[in-house]
Amino acid sequence: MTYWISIVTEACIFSIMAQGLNVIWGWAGDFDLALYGYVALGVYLTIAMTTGPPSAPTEYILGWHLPYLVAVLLAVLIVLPIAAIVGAVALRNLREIYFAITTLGVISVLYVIVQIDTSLFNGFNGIAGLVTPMAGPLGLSYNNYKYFLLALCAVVLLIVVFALQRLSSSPYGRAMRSIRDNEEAAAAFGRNIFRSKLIAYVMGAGLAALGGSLFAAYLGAFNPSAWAPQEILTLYAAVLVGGRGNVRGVVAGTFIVYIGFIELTRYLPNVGGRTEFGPSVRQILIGAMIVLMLKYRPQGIFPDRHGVPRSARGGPGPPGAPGGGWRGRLALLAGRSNRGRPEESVSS
Amino acid sequence: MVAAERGLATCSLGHWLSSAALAPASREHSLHQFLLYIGFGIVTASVLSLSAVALTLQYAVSRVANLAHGELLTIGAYAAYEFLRWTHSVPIAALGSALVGGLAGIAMNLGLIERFAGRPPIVTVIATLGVSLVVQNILIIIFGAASVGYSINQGSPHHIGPFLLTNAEILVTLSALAVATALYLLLQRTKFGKALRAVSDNRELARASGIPAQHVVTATWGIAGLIAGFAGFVLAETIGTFNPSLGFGYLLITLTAAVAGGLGRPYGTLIGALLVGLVLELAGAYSNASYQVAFALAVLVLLLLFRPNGLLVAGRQVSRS
Repeated sequence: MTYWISIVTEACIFSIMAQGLNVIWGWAGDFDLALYGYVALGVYLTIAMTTGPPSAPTEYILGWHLPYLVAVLLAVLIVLPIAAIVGAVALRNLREIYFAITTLGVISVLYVIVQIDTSLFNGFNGIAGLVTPMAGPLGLSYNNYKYFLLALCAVVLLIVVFALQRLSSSPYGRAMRSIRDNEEAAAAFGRNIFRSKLIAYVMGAGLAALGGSLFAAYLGAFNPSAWAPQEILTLYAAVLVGGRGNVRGVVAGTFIVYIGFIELTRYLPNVGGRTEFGPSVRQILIGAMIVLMLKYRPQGIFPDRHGVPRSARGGPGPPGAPGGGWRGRLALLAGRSNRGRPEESVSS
Repeated sequence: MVAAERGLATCSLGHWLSSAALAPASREHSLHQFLLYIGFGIVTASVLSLSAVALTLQYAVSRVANLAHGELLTIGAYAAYEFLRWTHSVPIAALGSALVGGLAGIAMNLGLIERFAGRPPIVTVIATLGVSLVVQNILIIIFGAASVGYSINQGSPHHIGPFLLTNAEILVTLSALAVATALYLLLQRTKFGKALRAVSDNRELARASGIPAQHVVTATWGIAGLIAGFAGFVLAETIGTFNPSLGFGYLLITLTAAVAGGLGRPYGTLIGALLVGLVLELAGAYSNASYQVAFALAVLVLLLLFRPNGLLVAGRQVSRS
C-alpha cells in the first residue's frame, strides 16, 4: 500500500511536469529539450530555500528557512524569468531543429555548471535535508505524511488540469494551435507569433518548476545524477502516449508510461550482477515507445480534438481536404497531408 | 600527463570533473603558450571534424539532424575496446571501430530514418532522440555504466614546430586530415560523389535523372557511420576513459561545429570544426577548461542568431529545417 501511494504521488508530480511540456510542445509546437532543467531548478531552489544554511563540507546558495509553500512559490517565480530569457533568445527566429539544438545547449550548460560550481548546489553530491515539509505545523506523523503529500500533489494536479483545460479552449489556446499548425497563416491573421510562443514557453517552464518543487518534498534530496538531459524523454513519451495537446490525455499518458513501465520492469532480476539492468530496460522501453508512437500513432491514445478541422472529424469537408474518419485524422495529425507545413519556404 | 589533462577538456559532458587547470602563462611566455594552445586546438578540431563531418553527411542526404549520432561514436569506441582486448593491435581496433560504426550507420538509416521518410523532419529528429536513449541503455546493459579505458601508449610529448604533441595526438591529426582528403576525393572525383551531391541537392530530381538515390543514401550513411565509428575510437582515446554516454556528451559540440559550417555542407563543416575546436581550446586555456561547454553554447547561440546557415553563407535568415 505504501508502495502504491508513493508511486501514484510520483505519477501526479510527473503529470504536472508533462503538462508543462504539453504547453510548449503540444500546443506551441516547440521541440524543447531544456524543460527538465527547469524541473531541476525547481527542486534545487525549493530545497535550498527551506533547509537553512549549509553546514561545513556542503555548500549551496540561499540557505533560507522559508515555509515550504512560500519556497514553492518563490522557486517558480525565479524560474520564470530564466525561462523567459532562454525563450526570448531561442524563439526569436529559431525553429524546429535549431530551436532543439539551442535548448539542448542550455540544459547541457546548466548541467555542467551545477556539477562543477559546487558553490551553487553542492556540485555532484547534491543537496539534501528537506524532510516532510509542513508536517510540523499540520501535526502530521511520519506515517500520515505520505497521504498528505499524495493529496497535495493530486490537488495541485487537478488545479493545473482545470486551468489548462479552460485555457485550451480559450482564444489563446486556439491561437497557439493555429501557430503550431501553420505559422505563416497565423501571422497573416495577425497573431503575434513570438509573443504567443514565448508565453507558452514561460508557462510550460513554470509548470515544470512547480512539478520540481513538489518533487523536492517527495525526494528530500537531489543531485545531478537525477536530472541528466535525457530525463526529458520520459515526459515526451508520456505526452505522445496521452495525445499531444490533450490536457487530460497527457495525465492518462503519464500514468500509463510512468506506472506501467515501472511495474513492467519492477521484478526484473539483476542480470550479470548489474543493478542498472532494470532501470536500463525501462529507459529502452521509453525510447522504443517514443519511436513506435511517432511511427504508428503520433496522435496518441487520446487524440486532441481541438483544432482538428471538421472534415477530419468525419463530417463533409471542403474539396481537396483529406478524407474523414480515423484515416483522415491520422493523416492530419501525422502531418502527412502537409497541413500547410511551410516546407516549401525553407530557407536554403 | 599533458595529453590526459587536455583530453579531458575535449568532451563535453561528465568528464571534466577532475580536469586540472593548465599551468598559468607568464608574460614572457605568452606567445609560446598561445601557440601551444593552438596546437592542442588543432588536435581537438581534428577529433571534432571527424564527428561533425559524419553528422553533416547524414544531414546532406536525409535532411535530418540525427540526435542519435553520438551513439555511433559510442558504438565505435566500444567496438575498438573489444578489438583491442582481443588483438592488442591499434590498427585493427581503428578499422574495427570504423566497420562497426559503418554497419550501425546503415542500420540506423534503414531501420529508422527511411521509415520516417515523408514525415516532417522534426518528427524524425524526436525519433532519433528516442533511439539514442535505447542504444545508450543497451550499451549500459552490455558493458556496464562504469567508465573503461584503452591501454594505448600515448608516447611522450615532443616539439613539432611551436607545438608540443604526443605521438598519439599527431596520429589523430594526421588521420583526420587523411579522412578529409579521402572525403574530398570521393565527393569531387568519383561518380558516387557526384551522385551524392545530386541526391543532397534534390533527391527526387536525382532519382528522376536515373541516379539510384536509395542506394546512394544508404551508402552515404555507411560512410558517415565509418567516420563516426572511427571518431568514437579517437575521441575515447584522447579523453582516456569513457562510458556509454560518451557520444551523447559530445553531441552538442558536434552540432555546434556542423552548424558553424552549415548543416549538410561537408567542406564548411571541416572549417566549422577547426574554428570551434580552436575557440574551445583557447577559451578553455585562458579561463577554466571545465567551462568549455558554456563557450560551445555561446558560440552556438551567436551563430544561430547571426549566421544560421553557416559562417560561409552570407546573410541572416530565419532558420527552419
